[in-house]
Amino acid sequence: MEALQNFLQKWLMPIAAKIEKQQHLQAIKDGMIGATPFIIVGSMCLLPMAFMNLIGSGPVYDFLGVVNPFFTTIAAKTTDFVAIYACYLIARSLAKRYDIDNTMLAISSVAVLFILTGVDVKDGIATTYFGSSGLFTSMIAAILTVEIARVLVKYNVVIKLPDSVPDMVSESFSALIPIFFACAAASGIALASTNLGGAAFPALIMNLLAPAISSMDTLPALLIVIFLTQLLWFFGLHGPSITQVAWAPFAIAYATENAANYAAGQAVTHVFTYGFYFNVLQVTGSGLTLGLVIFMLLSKSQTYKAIGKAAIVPSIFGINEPVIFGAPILLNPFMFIPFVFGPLVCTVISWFAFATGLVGMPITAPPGFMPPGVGAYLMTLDWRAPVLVVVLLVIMAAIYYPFFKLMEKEQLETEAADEATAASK
Amino acid sequence: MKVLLVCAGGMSTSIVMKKMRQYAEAKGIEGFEVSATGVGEFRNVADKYDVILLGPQIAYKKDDIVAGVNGQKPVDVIAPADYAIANCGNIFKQVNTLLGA
Repeated sequence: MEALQNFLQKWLMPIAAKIEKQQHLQAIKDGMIGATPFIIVGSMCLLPMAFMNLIGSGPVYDFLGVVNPFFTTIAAKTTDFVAIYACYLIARSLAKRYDIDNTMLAISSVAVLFILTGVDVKDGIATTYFGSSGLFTSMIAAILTVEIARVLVKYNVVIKLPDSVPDMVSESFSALIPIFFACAAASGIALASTNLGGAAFPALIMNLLAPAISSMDTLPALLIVIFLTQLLWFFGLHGPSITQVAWAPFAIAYATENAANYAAGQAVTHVFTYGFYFNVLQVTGSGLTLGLVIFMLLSKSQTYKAIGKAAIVPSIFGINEPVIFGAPILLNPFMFIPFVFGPLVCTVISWFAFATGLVGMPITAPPGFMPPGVGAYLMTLDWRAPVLVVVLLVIMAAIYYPFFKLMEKEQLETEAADEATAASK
Repeated sequence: MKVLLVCAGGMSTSIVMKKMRQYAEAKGIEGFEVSATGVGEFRNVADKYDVILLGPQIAYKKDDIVAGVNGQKPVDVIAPADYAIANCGNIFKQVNTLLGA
C-alpha cells in the first residue's frame, strides 16, 4: 500500500500540475464553466413548460400557458446563444493567463465567432450555431483571437502614435490591428470551409469532432472520469477540478443540447450532463460520502464525532472536504476500496437507470450545491430521480460501513490507549 | 493581518473563513480580515491581502499561485487535518509564522 501511495503521489502531483499549465484547455474549461449560469437560468426558464407537459390540462396548465412565452424567450436567448457567451469568457480567461487581458480582445473573439458561425440567410444570419453546436467553434474563435493578439504583442505590431496623443485615442488605435487580423483570419477560414469544405465551418468542426462527442456520453467514459476523480481525491487533490478539463466542455455542450431539444419538443438524448455528474454521480460530494459522515456523527469515538459534526451540514450542500481531510479519507488504506470503487458501482447503476428510461433524462441544468435529490429532481422533473439518489446514498453507506467499522475499532483503541496514558500520569 | 483563503471554487474555504472570523473575534485579534475565493478569481483580489493560504485539495496549484503573486506574498497550504475541522489555533499559528510575527 505504501509503495503504491508513494508511486502514485510521485506521479499524480506533477501530472495534475502539468494539466494545470495547459493554458488552452484550462481557459476552455474556465470559460465553459463561466457560461453555465446562462444555461442554468435558461433551462430553469423551461420549467413552466415542463410542468405543463407533466400536468397536461387544468387551470394551472392554462395559467402556465399564458406566462410561458415570457420564460421561453429568456431560454431561447440564453441557452440557445451560449456559444457567444462562452466565447467571450474563454477568450477573457486565456488572455488573463497570457497577461494581455483586455475587454476589447474578448469582444473581438465574439466578432470572430460571428464571422465563423453566422451563416448568411435571407434577411439575416442563421442562429443555428450560437447554441450547443457552436460551442466547439466558440473555443476555436476565442483561442484564434487571443493567439493572434499574443503574436502581435510579442512582435510589437501596433500602430505607434506620438506621446502627445491622449491615452484613450492611442488605445482605440492599438485595438484596430488585432481586430483586423483576427477577423481576416476568421473570414478566410469561413470562406475556405464553404468553398473548399462544402459546409459552414461549425458544421465541419462538428463532423470532425463527432466521434469524440459521441464517445464521451458512454458508460466506459463515465467510469474512467469517476475513477480518476476518486483516485485524485484519495490523494488529496481536487478530483473534479482536475478532470473537468477533459469532460466539462462535453458535459456542458450535452446539457445545452438537451435543454434546446426539450424546448423544441425533440428527443432528449444525453445522459452525461454537468448536472448528472454533480447531482447524481457526486451527490453530497465526490464519493457520495453522506452515509460515512452520518456513521462518524453517531460514532463512540470523540474524534469521529467531532469530524461528523463539522462535516454534516457542508455535506448536505455537496461540500465534503471536511470529511475527506478529517476522517481522513485522504491516503487512508481503509477508505481506498469504498471511496475509489464504490462510486463506480453507483455510476453503473445510474447509467442504466437513465439509459433504459427508468429515470427521466436530464432536461435542465440545475443550480449547484443543493441538498441531495433537489438538484436531481429539478434536472429531470421526475420523482424517480431523487429516489435513485437516495438508493445510491444507501448503497454507498452500505459499502462504507464495514470499512468504517474496521477503522473505528482502531480509532477507539488509540483513544482508549491515549486516555490510559493520560490517566497514569 | 489580511488573509486570503483559496480553494477550487471558494466553497469549502468559506467554511474555514467563517470559523476564523469567529475565532478572531473570540480572541480579540484586531485588524484581522479574511476572505475566501476560488483559484479562478484569486488574481483579481490577491493584491489586497498579506498572506495566501490554500486548501490542501489544490496544493498542486501552489507554484501557479506563487507565480500569480510574483513571489511577493507568502503562500502556503493548510494541513489537511487542520482544514477538515477548521482548527483555527493551528491556522493562525501558520499565518503568524508566514508573516514572521
